[in-house]
Amino acid sequence: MPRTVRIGIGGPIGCGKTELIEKLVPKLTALGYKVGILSNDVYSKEDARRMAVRLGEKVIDKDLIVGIETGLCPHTAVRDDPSMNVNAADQLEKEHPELDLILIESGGDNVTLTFSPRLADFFIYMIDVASGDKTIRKGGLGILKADLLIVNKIDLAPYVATTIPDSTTKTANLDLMREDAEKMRPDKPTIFLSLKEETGIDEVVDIIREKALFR
Amino acid sequence: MSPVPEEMLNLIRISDTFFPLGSYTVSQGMEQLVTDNLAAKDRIYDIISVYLEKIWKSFDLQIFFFALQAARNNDIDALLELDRFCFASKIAEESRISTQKTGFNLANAMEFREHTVGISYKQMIKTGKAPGMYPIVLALVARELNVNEQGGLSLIYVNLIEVVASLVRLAEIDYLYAQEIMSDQITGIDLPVKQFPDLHQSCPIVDIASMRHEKNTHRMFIS
Ligand SMILES: Nc1nc2c(ncn2[C@@H]2O[C@H](COP(=O)(O)OP(=O)(O)OP(=O)(O)O)[C@@H](O)[C@H]2O)c(=O)[nH]1
Ligand SMILES: [Mg+2]
Repeated sequence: MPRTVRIGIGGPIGCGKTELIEKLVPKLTALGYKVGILSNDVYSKEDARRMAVRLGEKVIDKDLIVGIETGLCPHTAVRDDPSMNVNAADQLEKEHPELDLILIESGGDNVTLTFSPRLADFFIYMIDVASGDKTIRKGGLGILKADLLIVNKIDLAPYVATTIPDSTTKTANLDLMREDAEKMRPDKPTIFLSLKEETGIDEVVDIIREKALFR
Repeated sequence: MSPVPEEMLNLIRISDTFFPLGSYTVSQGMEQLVTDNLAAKDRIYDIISVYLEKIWKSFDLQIFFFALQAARNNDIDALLELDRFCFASKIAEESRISTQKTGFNLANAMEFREHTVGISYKQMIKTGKAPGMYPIVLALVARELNVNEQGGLSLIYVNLIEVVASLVRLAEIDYLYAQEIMSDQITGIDLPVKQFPDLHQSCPIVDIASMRHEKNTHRMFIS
């Protein structure tokens, strides 16, 4: 029996990781996939509770949402010593062998974040436009290595100034960000979207199906 | 007899914070002591001495020594009895569970040779037939890696690091002061073997802190 596919989602605090899961789960469920969630929170199990409330029992059983406290080292918890998460994922899989995939939200952390290959089969790194359009060109393991890079909150681009000196626009320059993504990760997909306006989410679902679930 | 380099390095390896025990998620009640203002800077030394004398040296270490003996005798029943005794003696649930998780992680990261008590016991832990508390698993590992009694050093060190590092991570003390504490606790340390009837674990300040911590919804450490 194949192991449940584990998808890691990492990125800085507030980039929209939990929001992404909240938008993905109903779509994946509608396609017939059984989804479990592990949520790493640096402080409290707030995100796990929030998802249980917002997704509701109709979409996902609350037993399938597990909160994990990581002890101030969110990157350690998913990379250097992911034992806590691996154990929790194993446990979830044991109790729910019907699961097709487990989404693992890392605690909000830095741009060098990656997932241990023992923990995640597929790694999504997420940033948002409002924290500066320079982020992709700055690089970092998350940007370079992720199987999928998501640039969220494009709806906010008109409201923030560009941080790239040679930008011809005054506000955040999405075209330059696309060029940067092309240069930094030529063979890997990058999706620009707005979870708020619900654009681009189907593309994410397609990539997950094609490159992580293979079906 | 001191260990040869290979054994020495293995002893360091299993004690190092890079070794995947999940220690960085554990504060052993220290987070709550800090929250409750019971770990003011002038009391930190006293509190860490309490952990050292009343919990690690008098209890966990003794369990380790007994388990090592049981492992030498290939006595699975004795190991299981010690394991259950250790489990039952950790009064606060979260300290019980975190000691068990650490044990599980240690077993998981270790390859035992075929036909050893270690490989059989690891299987029992994985299938839920044994609790797999850290001191018990460490004894099996100490035997596997041929570090034997010296494994007790690892037990003391790992526990000490959990508590001191949590203080640094909570920004209660700075990284150099942490080394001062470590150095002072290590200087002149003795690791006495006690007799079974004396074996006990009682440290109300830590037990109460752990129980309060269990109910705390805003926390960073699992214990
Ligand atoms: N304008 C706008 N806001 C968004 C978008 N996506 C998410 N947000 C908001 O960004 C905030 C943070 O979103 P979360 O999903 O909690 O972010 P997170 O990455 O899970 O945060 P941590 O778990 O704390 O690291 C929330 O207030 C969201 O509503 C978007 O596309 N546009
Ligand atoms: Mg979140």
